[in-house]
Amino acid sequence: MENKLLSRERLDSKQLYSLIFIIMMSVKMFMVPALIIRDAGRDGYMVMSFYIVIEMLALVVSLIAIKLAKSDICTIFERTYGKILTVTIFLLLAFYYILKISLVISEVKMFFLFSASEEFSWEIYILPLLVFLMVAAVKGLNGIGRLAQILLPIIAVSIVLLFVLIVSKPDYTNILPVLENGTGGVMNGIKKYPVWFGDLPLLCFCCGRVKREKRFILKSMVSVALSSVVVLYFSSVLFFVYAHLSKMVDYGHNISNMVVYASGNYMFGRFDLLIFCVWLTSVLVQTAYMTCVATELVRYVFRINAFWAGAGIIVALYITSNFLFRSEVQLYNFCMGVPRYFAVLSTVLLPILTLIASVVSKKGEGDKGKAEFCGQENTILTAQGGDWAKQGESL
Amino acid sequence: MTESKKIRLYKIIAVVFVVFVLFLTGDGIKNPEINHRSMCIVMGIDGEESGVSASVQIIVPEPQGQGKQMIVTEKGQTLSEALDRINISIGQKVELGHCGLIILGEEFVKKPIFSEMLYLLSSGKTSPDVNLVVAKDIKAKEVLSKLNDLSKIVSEGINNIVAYADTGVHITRKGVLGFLSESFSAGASSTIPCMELGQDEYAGEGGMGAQGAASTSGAENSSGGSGESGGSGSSEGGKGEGQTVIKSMDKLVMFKDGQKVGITSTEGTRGVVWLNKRAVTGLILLKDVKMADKTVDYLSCKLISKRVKTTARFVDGAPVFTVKIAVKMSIDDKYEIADIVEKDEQVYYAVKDAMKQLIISEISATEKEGKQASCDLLDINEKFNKFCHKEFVEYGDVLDSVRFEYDITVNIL
Repeated sequence: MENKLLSRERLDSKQLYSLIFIIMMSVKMFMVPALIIRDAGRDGYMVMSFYIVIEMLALVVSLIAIKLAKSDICTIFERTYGKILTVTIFLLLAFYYILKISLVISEVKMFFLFSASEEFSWEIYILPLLVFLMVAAVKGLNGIGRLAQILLPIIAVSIVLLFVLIVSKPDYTNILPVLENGTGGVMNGIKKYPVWFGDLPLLCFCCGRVKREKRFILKSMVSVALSSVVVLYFSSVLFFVYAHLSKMVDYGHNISNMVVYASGNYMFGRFDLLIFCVWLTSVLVQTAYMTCVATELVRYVFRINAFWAGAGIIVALYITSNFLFRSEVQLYNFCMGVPRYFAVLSTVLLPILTLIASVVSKKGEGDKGKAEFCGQENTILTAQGGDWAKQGESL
Repeated sequence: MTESKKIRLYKIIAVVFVVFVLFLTGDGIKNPEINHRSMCIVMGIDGEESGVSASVQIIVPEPQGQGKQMIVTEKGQTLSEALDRINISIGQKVELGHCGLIILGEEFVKKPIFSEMLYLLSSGKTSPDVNLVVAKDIKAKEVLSKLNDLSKIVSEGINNIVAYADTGVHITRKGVLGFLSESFSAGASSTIPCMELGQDEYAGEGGMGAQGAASTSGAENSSGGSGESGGSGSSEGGKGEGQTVIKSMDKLVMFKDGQKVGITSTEGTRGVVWLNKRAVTGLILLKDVKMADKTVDYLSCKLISKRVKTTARFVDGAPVFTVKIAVKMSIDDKYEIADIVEKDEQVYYAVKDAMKQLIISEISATEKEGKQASCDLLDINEKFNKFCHKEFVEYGDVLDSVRFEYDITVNIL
């Protein structure tokens, strides 16, 4: 039986692949390389690789959980862990995701401050973004999935253009010497920045709400692999370009600055900014997905409808963005502190807990199914799920 | 609420929101109108007894016409302070994002310039690739005041002269990020092109007009890769006495630890350019090419493409630096040797050999000048640091003891 507090919107497989590609890439490629380079210098790609591998493993576990789950995540968690523990976990995750959304929003702000205009009224410019997030919160998964699917080709083209602009210019030999100053910097990077990673396990919340096709795990892994290559390439190029100046890189230097450097904007103007802004839509898609998940968690915990849950989150984001953390640096420093431990919950524990819950729930369903062959739950699942239930069972 | 009513409500909210945003005043969104912006196109930095002075050429766009231009100079203990004073003096914030060129006064580069360059890079105020030039024997502020003269040479101004150098001819340029990257590498050395201004020696002799000069400046600059006579990339133009022109941009100011340690010769500059992977086209002038029964005094060759690979290794404990360059070129002055080149294979090889010798001699000159100034012009230490890290750490600076090996391939098309 599905939890009535969750949206009944469903993702089809192609939307899932698009989301995986976008979520894997967006925030990791946006600003965090500029932070990592300060700790790990030219070896920053090792920090990125570490988190990418962790995230890919977490995705595999999440996808298996999605495949096995017969109900939504709230239902299987309640069945396996009980209501109190489920509410506690979801409440913690809701807070963590709201913090992550604030972080991403502040990065968007930082980008425009650094790359476009030093002075602009963020209190006004954030409004369209919040309206967009509110729509995402209310519309649910399917809307975001469709948006991801529509934007994917455009984002892919912008990636190709950025690649073409950059590829021939950086000195790739700057990868050497490897670990010149030992492993300390890399370890520091791994310890400090988990909040910026671990986005894919959020897909656990798609449990029971994906219209799966054949080999959807394999295809999802192809999508994440492609995305990982993009992330690693672009972040590594930043590490190589700024290899000798790692301590001087400011938060705000990103791929856009690198394109300016590589393409020689003195000849062509700032068209790199246009391309990068197109790419930036991927960050918005990810933020929308996180808002949608956070809304569903808040709905579940506080038993309220999507509109009020979404509105609450939007207000929280506005306050966090404009009042609570007046300077971005405060927020980033905060994210390098206690929230790191919540990142472990979100990145590592959530997929494992979801997988266990799926297995337990599947077993329970199977036993129940044998006892009540034409029982109420199977009837509801088939009626609500339509094609996906049939496809799911065929898998 | 039914679904259709909800959609109608969303539409109304969306329309109200769009109207709200559209009718926000400029003050509300803190986004100044175009004619209230001041865009810096060229900046100059001069050294003072204490601190620096910054000069900016600003364009204030106007709804009609080309906009006002002015030059503002202010002093400060730091570059940041000087720029802030400029903002105060004109009553608005100068936007440096469009700045394409930073001219450094010769006095300024006598002290380490790291703090100013790092400020420009890390503040994000300018592009990381903004061009740098050092003005020889003149203050940057004075160069800025002569910009109007210089701008007559090419319609887009001095910035394009420098930008053209990067792609159009076989000379070199340097941006802030490039300068800092090299300065913080193992060699702690870098270079910045040196711009020498002077009076137009053809003035009063019916010199070329601005348009004529614009069309020839590229060709003149193109001789940047030549022998003795071709070094000066002079750009000339305009009529009347006292016309300021760029006399040369074919030398490099050498920096060690962010401080000027000397200026390369024209030949030494070209050695740097040969190892620059970005400079792949331009004209090369071969001198005294002996072939068959005649000697050609000057033979212009057009560089079509260039591939450069350098390797560093230790052989029996001694550092060896190998330069591998593959050049494709065509002979521009074909009329000089058209009658013999295709007939006589020896002539063909003579041109190739002359080109090889030129490349080797120019790189050797660079090596020598670098050693004299203790400046790692060819980035040798960094190459050893990358490719033989352990040995390099044990050995230390290889600049004085490195042995060069050359593998030059020339193809004449």
